[in-house]
Amino acid sequence: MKLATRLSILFFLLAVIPSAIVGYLSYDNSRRTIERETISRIISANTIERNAIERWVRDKEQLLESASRSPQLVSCSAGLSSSNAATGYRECVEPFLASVIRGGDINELFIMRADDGMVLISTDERQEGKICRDEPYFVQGKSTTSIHNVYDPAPLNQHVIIVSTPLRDGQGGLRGVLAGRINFYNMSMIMEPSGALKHNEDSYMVNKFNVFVTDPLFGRGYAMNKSVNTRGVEAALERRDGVAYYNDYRDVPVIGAYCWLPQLELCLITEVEQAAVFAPIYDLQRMIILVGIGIALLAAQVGWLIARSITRPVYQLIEDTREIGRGNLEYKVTSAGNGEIGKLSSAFSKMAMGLKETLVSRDILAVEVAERRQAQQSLQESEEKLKNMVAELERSNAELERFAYVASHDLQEPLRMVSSYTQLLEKRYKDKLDDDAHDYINFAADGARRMQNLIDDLLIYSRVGTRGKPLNRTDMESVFRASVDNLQVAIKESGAGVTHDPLPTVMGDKGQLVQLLQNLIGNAIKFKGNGAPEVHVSARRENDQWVFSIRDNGIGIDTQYFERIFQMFQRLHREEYPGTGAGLAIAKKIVERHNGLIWLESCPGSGSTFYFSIPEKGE
Amino acid sequence: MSENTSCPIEILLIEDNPGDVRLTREALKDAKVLNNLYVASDGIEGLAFLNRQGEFKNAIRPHLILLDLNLPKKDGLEVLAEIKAHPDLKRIPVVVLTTSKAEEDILMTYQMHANCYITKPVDLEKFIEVISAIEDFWLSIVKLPRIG
Repeated sequence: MKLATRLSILFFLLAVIPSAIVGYLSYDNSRRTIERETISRIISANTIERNAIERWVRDKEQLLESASRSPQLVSCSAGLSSSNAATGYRECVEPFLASVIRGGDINELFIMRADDGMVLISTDERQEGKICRDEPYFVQGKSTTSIHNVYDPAPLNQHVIIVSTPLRDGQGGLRGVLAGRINFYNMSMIMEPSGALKHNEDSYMVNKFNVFVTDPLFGRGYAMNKSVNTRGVEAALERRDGVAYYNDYRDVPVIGAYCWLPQLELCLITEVEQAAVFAPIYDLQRMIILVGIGIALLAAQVGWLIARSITRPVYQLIEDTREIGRGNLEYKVTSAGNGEIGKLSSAFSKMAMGLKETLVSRDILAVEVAERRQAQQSLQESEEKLKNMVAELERSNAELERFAYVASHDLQEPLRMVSSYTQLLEKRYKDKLDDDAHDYINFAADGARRMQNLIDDLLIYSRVGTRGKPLNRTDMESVFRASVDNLQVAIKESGAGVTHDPLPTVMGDKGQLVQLLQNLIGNAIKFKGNGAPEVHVSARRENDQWVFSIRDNGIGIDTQYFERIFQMFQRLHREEYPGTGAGLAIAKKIVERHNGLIWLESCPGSGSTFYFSIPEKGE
Repeated sequence: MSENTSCPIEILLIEDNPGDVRLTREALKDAKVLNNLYVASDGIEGLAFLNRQGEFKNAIRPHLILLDLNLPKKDGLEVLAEIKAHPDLKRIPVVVLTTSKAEEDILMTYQMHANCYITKPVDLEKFIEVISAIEDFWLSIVKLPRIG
C-alpha cells in the first residue's frame, strides 16, 4: 500500500476514534441530563396537577361546609321535621342554593332529609323526591363532610363526584345532608390552564375501569369513551406513583409520570413524547457524527498531504536513482531541501559521484589490465618464439653433429681405399715405377693421411655432443694423470716439464675432461718457445665454480686471435706446427658441455695461460 | 710357405666392400699359414653360408669368421647375435672388423661376445700387421676342438 494511503487511513482513524469517544460521552451526558430534567419536570408537572385537583376538591368541600353553616340555611333548616318538609322551606333555601351554585363549579346542589335520605330540594328539580337512604354520600354525609365517586351517572356520561356535608340547626341537631354533584368535565377545564405543561406534554386522568376521564391531548372525545391500558395506568391503578418509559395510548414511546388520587379514585398521568424530549439529543448526535466525519475526512486529507510532501521527493529520488541506475552517472539528483530526504538526496549524489570516480578508475584499471595482458601475450609470444628458436637451434645443432659424425664415419671408408691401394701400388710395383710416380704416390698417401687426421678430429668434435656420458664426480688429479700418460711421447721428445697444484673433484665426463686437459697441455708443449716447455696446471675456487688454469712458457698468442683460435680447423701456424686446428674447438665444446667457459691470457713471446671454469654442482 | 700345416684354415669373410675383400685377400697371400678364404657379400648370405642353406648346401664350416659391421640387408650386429645364439656356430671365433672407434663403442655397449674386434687401419702396413695378428690369433686357438 502506498505511504499516502496508509497515512490517510492512519490520520482518519486517529481523528475518528477520539471524535467518536468525545461524541459518545457528550451525547450520553446530554441524554442523561435531558432525561433527568424531563423526568423531574414531568414529575413536578404531575404533582402540580395533583395538587391543583386536590385543592379544587377541598375548595368544594369548604364551599359546601361553609354553605351548610350559613345562617340563612341554618335558620331555614330549623323548621325541617324529620318526616316532612316544612312548608316554605323551598322558598327559604332556594335562592341561597342558587347563589352557591353560581359561585362554584358545582353542577347540582341538593338537600336530603335526615331520617330517610329523600331529596327534599334540588337545583335540578328532576332529582327531588329521590330516596338516597343507602347512598354512601348520605350515610357518611350525616356525620362529616366527604367526597364520593359516582359511577353510574348514565345519562350524564360523565365522571361524577358528590361532596356531602351534614346540615345542622342552631342547636347542633342534624336536620339533613347538603350535597353537591360535580361533573368531572369541569375538572378538565381546571386542569388545562393549571399545568406547567408544554405543548408536547400530555396530561389526563383515567378511572379505575381504565376509561379516560379527561380528554388526552391527542384524543378529543376520548373521555368516558375509550379505555386505556398502558404501563403507567396499570402502575397507578395498583396505587403506585412513579415514572416509567413506555408506549402511550397511541403506541408512541413516552416518558410518563403517574400517580393515584385515592380520594377521587383516579389515575393522573403526565406524559411527554420521547421523540420530542430527545430531539435535541438526536440533533446533537447527528451533529457529532457529522462533525466527527468532517474532522476525520479533514485529517485524512491532511495525512494525505503530509504523505505526499514526504513521498513526492522520495518518488523524485527514486526516479533520479533509476536514471543513475541506467548508467547515466552525469545525472544530477534533484535537491530536496535540508530535511532527511534532502540528506538522502545529497548522499545519493555523492554516491553517484563516487561511483563515477570508481568507474573511471575501473576503466583505467581495465586499460592497464588489457595493456598488461597484451604485454604478457607478446612476452609469451616472444618466449614461444625464443623456445622455438632454441628448439630449432638445438635441432640444427644436433643435425649438424649427426652430419659431422656420419660424414666423418662414412668418409673413412673411401679414404681407406685410397690410402691402402696407393700403398699397395707402391709396395707391389716398387721396381716398375719411376721417381715421378713415387712422388705422386707419396703426395696421394700424405693427403690421405692428413684427411684421416681431419676426419678423426671432426669425429671427436662431433662425439662431444652426441656421445657424451652423464656428468659424475670426477677427480681431476686422475684426469691430469691420464692426459699426461696419453702425451708421454710428446713430453719425452720435447723434454717438457708438466707440473700441477692439488686439483679438486668436479662433476664431469671423465673421458672428455681427459681430452680437454690433453688438448690444452698438448698445445702448450707443441707451441713451445726456444727453451724446454714448462707447463703448470692449477685450480682455484671462485664462488660456486672451479677455475682451472694451464700456464705455459710457449710462443704466446696475439690478442687479435683470441676468438679465432677456438674455431674449428683454424690454424695460426700452418708451416711450423703440424695439426688440424681442431684441438681448441674440441676443448671449447667440452667446457661448454660442462656449463663452463674457456678463455686465455697471453702475450706473444711470453707464454699463454688458458683458463676454463666448471661449476661445482655440474649445472 | 706353410706346407707343414696339414689342413688349411677355412676363413669366412663377411664383407660387402670389394676393396676390403681384395685387401684382405692380398694380405692373406703373404700369410704364414695355408688358408682358404670364402666371402659372403652381405649378412644374409653370410648366415646362409654358415647354416648351409641354398647354394651353400655343401659349404664348409669355417674355422674363423671375419665380420664387417656395416653390412647391407642384415648388419654385422644382427649376424653376430645369430651366430652367438646358435648352439654349434657360437664356438666359431669371430673377429669383428670396424671402420671407426665409434663402432667399437657400439660393440662395447651391446657386449655381443665377439672374440675380438679390430679397427680397419688406413695404412696398408698396419692392415698387413692386423692380418698377421689374426694368424697369430689363429695359431693360439688352433688347439681348440675342431668343428666338423
